[in-house]
Amino acid sequence: MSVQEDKQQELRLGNSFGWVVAVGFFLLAGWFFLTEPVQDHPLTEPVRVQASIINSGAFRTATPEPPIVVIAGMKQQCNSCHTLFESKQMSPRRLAQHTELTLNHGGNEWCFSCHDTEDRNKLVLPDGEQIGYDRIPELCGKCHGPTYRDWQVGIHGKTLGYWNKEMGEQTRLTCSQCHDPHSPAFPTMQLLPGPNTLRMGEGDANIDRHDHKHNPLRKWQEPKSNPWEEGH
Amino acid sequence: MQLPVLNNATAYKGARKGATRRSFLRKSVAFAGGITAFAAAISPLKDMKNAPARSLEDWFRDHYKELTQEQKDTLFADIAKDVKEQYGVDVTIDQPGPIPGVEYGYALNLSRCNGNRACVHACVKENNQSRSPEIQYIRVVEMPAGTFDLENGSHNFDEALVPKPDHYYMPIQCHQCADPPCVKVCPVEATWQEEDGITVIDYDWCIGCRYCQAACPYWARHFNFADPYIPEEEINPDMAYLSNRPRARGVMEKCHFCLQRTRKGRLPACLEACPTGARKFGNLLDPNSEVSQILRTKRIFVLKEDVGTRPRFFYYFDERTTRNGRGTA
Repeated sequence: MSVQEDKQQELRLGNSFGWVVAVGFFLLAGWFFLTEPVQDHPLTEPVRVQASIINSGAFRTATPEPPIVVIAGMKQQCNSCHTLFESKQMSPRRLAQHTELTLNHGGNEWCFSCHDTEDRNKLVLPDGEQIGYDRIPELCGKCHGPTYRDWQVGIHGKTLGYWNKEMGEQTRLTCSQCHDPHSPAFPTMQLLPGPNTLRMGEGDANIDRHDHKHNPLRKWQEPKSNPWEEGH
Repeated sequence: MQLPVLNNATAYKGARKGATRRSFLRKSVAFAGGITAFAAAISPLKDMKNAPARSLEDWFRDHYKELTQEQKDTLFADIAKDVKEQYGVDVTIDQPGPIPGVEYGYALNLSRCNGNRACVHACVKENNQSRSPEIQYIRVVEMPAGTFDLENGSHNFDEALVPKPDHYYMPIQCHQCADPPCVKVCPVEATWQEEDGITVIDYDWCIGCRYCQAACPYWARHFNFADPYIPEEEINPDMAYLSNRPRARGVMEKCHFCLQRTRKGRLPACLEACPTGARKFGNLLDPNSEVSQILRTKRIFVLKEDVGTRPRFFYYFDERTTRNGRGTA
């Protein structure tokens, strides 16, 4: 075999290799254009919290001034009954009425510590002054001094609306808009869903190291189609 | 007269050489490879359903063009248009500036917080955070009573009812530090502290290097690992450029004290959602504001004081607790 033939053989080999590469690249290009886009969206199951659950207002409804109660679907004032039926027994006792109320207010177990004996549409301060339901904080403050002091300057209690009173209306909630006067301890509550992505070392509860539930890049496997486009 | 003779022999030889079969094939392969590489490089374009309306403006801003107010308005309108195309929601975008004479402060009453996470989800809703992958500005840590060691805390508490006896709850979010380490480390100045103390991020300027996330001692900064998912019906249409407009993949985000609300005088969303009234917000420079009263009269502390970040987020206690019926104040 001559040197020239060797060289031609080499040439042919080189050329065929080039074609293989070229065809490979063309196939790759076709693949890029024809396949679906790579879904690199790391999907974790979204936590759905209805906006209505989050109450950006008062925790409970306070009794208005003058006091209105709904009895058998009818709006009544306290005095609607209490002027008809006179309370004769002015001492602590078990009531046959107002069974819907739970009285759990520490040592304060007597209706007339706060309610007026004569006019049931009114409350009463310890010095005997009749007050309306709009002056509840004053009444509560007679016992809960430090809390009342804090509430007056805005440290205790909830503020709504505007922090800057010059730019809009500010609402300061009163005692009975958060606390039930008959059972004033703030109740335990249900809590909203916790985070999917946070871990905090060994001490963190509910961490199973073999479970990849808390991986922020965990891929959403099931179902295969986009779960949110089907009104999930 | 003798004309100069051009010696074309070399050029001719080269031309001859270029015309060989082998070099033709080699060039063809190179050409095909080049075309393929180009096709691969531009292939993401075919997935782009809605070309951003502001791409030219983006280009100009990448090249350091100071925007006039009119141009800002145009930009905000273009972003609103993009949001409309992406989510089908009509939104308003602006950028309220800091109010002169105002420095924001936040105070949180650990005696009152009951860990129900209403603040977390109100914040997600208000600030259009991604629901998947999940981004939450506030993390609530359940702590055993009698310790401040965060390593004993838990994020993933899941009781039927809170508060759990003998535990307290510490929500942590951006502390809007007066000496913010996140701002110092940003290589492109995409984040800065404004006059009123709020540290903001320009999501269009952020390159997503996550240095700030590493620098923050409070875990306040969050990275968009993927395209955010926000349900269309849950978009908050009241948006600002540096706060709650929808973010893109690959940028950082964090709490900004709801500046789209607070710079218009309103209270932050987390505060209004808190059922216990544990959260307090206001102007530190006003001696009669709620936060100023708290700083003056209560026992307060800041988290990780020793790292020298000087937070504007304060934790405080009541004299006695009424939690779990253990006190009577």
